[in-house]
Amino acid sequence: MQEAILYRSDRLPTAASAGGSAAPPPENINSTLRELVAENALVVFARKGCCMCHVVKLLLHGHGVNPTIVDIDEQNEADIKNDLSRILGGGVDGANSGKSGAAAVVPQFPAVFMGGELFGGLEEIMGAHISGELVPRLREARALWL
Amino acid sequence: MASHRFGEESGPSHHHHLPYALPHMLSSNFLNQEGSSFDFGELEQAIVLQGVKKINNDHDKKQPLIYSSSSTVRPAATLEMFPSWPIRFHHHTPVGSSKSGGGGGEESTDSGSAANTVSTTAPESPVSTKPSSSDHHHLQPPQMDGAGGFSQTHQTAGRQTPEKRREPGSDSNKAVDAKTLRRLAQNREAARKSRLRKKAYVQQLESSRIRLTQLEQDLHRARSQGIFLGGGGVAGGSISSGGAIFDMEYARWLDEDLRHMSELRTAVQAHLTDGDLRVIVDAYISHYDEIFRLKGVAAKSDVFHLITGMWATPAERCFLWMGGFRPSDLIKMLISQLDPLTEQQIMGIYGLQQTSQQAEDALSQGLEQLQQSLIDTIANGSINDSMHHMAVALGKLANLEGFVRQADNLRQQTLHQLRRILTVRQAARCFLVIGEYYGRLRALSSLWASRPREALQMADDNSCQTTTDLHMVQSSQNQFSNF
Repeated sequence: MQEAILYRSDRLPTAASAGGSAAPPPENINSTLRELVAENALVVFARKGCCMCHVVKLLLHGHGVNPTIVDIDEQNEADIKNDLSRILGGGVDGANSGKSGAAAVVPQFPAVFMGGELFGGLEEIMGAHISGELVPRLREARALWL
Repeated sequence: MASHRFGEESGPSHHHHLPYALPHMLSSNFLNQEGSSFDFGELEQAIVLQGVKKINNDHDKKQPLIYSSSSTVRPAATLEMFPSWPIRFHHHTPVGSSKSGGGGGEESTDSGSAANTVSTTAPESPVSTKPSSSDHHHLQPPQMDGAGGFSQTHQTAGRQTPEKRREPGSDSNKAVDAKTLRRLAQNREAARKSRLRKKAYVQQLESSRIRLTQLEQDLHRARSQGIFLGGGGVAGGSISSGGAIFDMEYARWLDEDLRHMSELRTAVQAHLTDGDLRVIVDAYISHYDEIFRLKGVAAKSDVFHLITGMWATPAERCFLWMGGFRPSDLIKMLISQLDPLTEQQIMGIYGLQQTSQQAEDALSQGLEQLQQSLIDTIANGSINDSMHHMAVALGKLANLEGFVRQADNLRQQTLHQLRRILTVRQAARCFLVIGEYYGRLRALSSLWASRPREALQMADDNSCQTTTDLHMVQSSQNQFSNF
């Protein structure tokens, strides 16, 4: 069974939220996403209604895996991109200040996270699918059990 | 150079252009070098009329007079023109093959003096090397008959051969002078006119050729851009030339492909070491990587050109999938051609067929979803909201580029995987098979395009024609089966 988590700000725990601010404090977004990525073997960040994302889902389903799909709205897209790139930058903001933007990887959607790490987009999934690497990687990430 | 160009253009059996070409070649080649006041008119008219005589035999009477007159009026003229060309009455370059020489021989049978023969044929000798051999052969026989062997006439130019020449009007010098001058003038006029005509014709050809290529390019752009712009929206020069540029690069890539193919072929037959063969095989893979890169660039500027396959031949277009070949079809074709394979390799190939099929299905479904979404967007635009809907539709269209890129990526990955599964030698043969296959598919397009169209009456002929075509295809298939 697959769960589609709708990324909505009101669902996030707001520790010290300002009044009517729609955007929760950054640390919270970060932690939520971080948890999401770390705890789920296979996470796909996909824009709603995006046909490319549809292709990724089809390919993964074809292998019998059930990825956690994060549907992204237009409004949230920029935020999520930032958050993900911060996560990928390898740590909290303070630790990364030295690296500035050089190490920041801005993921393109659809973005597939496998075993807590960014695997890539449709191109990488396709390449791994053809070369036969995809199944072993899925097994490694415990997304596939057979 | 102009002369080369004319030589080429007039080469393939445009016989009656050749005489016109000669004077021009002469003037462009030699006149500049000479810088003398030599009047080419006489020489040209002589040569022109020789050629004209091949077409209509009306100038018999004129030629002898010309020759004799040219010798009397300007005895040293030919000497001036070709200072390096030894004018010796007893010696002639064995022209034999020149049509102009042959013509001269035939004409010069009419004139009375050996000098005439020499003076007219000597300058023709260098020219005679220019006309194409096809013209030589065509025009050679009649001349030989008439002159009883032009070379003979040449070789024995020292001797006068009055019995072969006919000079109705040259009996008395006075009569010759008067009539000759008049004919001279007429011939000069005729030569001038024919020169102008030829020039006009060539210019017309050139401009038509340019116009044709421009039309082809416009048609190309219009076709690729016209689908979503409703056909009538061809905006002339504002359409991106990405499609035209890609076509050019693709043509170059095809030439490269032929080169790679022949290299592969010789390498396989020469039984090179695996190391050497690997270099060649890897080069071929890079060659394919290159076209995928080019297609990626083209997809950014004109994705419709790629999707509609206007860059490919009609038969290839028939099998087009997302702007290129369908990888699973290629694998299926190869399975039958790639014996012998180890069991592991067979499994690998079948696995590749399966994975590429899955990827193709996923991409196709994704494209279908895009199309459906686009239909909805276009259909549901209200009058008030139309611009917004157009903007949304444009945004969705932009995804097409992504699909073509992913499809090309799939093709590329498939070829790379193929390379991994096979040994170097098998891979070399495999790529030869692939190249051969697409070469035949393209040839099929050409054959189809040139098939006879008379449907009913010529039905029998049609079937004969296609049978012949099939033989052509089958004969190459016999080579194919060697793999």
